Amino acid sequence: MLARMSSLEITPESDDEWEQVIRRHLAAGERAHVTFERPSMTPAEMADSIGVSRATIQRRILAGEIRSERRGNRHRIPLHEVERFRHAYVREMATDLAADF
Amino acid sequence: MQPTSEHRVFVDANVLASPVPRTILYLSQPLSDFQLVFSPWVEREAERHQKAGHIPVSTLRQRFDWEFVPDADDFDGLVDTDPKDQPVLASAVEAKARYLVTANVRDFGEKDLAEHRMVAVHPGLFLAHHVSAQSYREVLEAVGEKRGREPRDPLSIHQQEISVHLPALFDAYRDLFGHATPDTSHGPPMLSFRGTRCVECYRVLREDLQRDPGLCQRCGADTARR
Repeated sequence: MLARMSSLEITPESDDEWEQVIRRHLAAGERAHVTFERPSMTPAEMADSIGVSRATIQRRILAGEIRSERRGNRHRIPLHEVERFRHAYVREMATDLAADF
Repeated sequence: MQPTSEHRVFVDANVLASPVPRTILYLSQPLSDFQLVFSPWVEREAERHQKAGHIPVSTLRQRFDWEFVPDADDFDGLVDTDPKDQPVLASAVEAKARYLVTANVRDFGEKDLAEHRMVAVHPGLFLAHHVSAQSYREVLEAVGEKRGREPRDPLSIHQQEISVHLPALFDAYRDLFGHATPDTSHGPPMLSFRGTRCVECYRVLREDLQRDPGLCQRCGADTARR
């Protein structure tokens, strides 16, 4: 079994140095394990970010209005879906709020 | 991605009862870094002052899941706030809000605000420092699309409604939609800010270093550059 020596997060914005860092570790006799994941939020994180309750996010997931991915028995919402819903929610509120505006 | 809400903002009844400030505040919330809250007492006061035929605040709150916080039951410690507004300030303090957004800043006492590290601020000035140009544009476009009467284009709404109800927000983004002329038939609020913290970053204010009322040295310089 290998002891965990260090970790490295790579995003689409990362510069190219990550490849050299990995090669340096491999040259030093270490191994690298690579995991790919899509950036996402939990329902609670999404609720906090948009300014609604977690129950609202859960309800909209169940109604199919927010697309989520299941990881075990938990929902994760991809960031692009969080952003889509954020802007849709502004338009939705505007429908009622603009009536008295 | 928007940042997680770090600024909790208590909304006074006079703002909730007024369609233009309420609309711009609540449509900006999902696009910004603040979390709006109010209490049952404030909701009742707002509904008492709403115009007949307008959608009740309680209906909007339930429909859009606006955050409700409990009313404070103890406001004996307040010394220089107008008694009719003490329930508002006490509930804002209990909700751990940093800002109290109100059309009547003068009603909230300097000593009470300093004691509780609370900032009383007009909604126009608050929005001017917490809503980006991109978000403001999106909000006015959404209002224009859904509004049932003229004006519906963002420039006209900006000139005819925002310049009257939220003058500091108008000034901050004056020519965002093209050359804009404000409606000057209404004067700006007598007082837009009261407190000891920066309206933008919540740092402690030093009176000798303020370039603009309500802004710390750094935020004042940033605003001047923008």
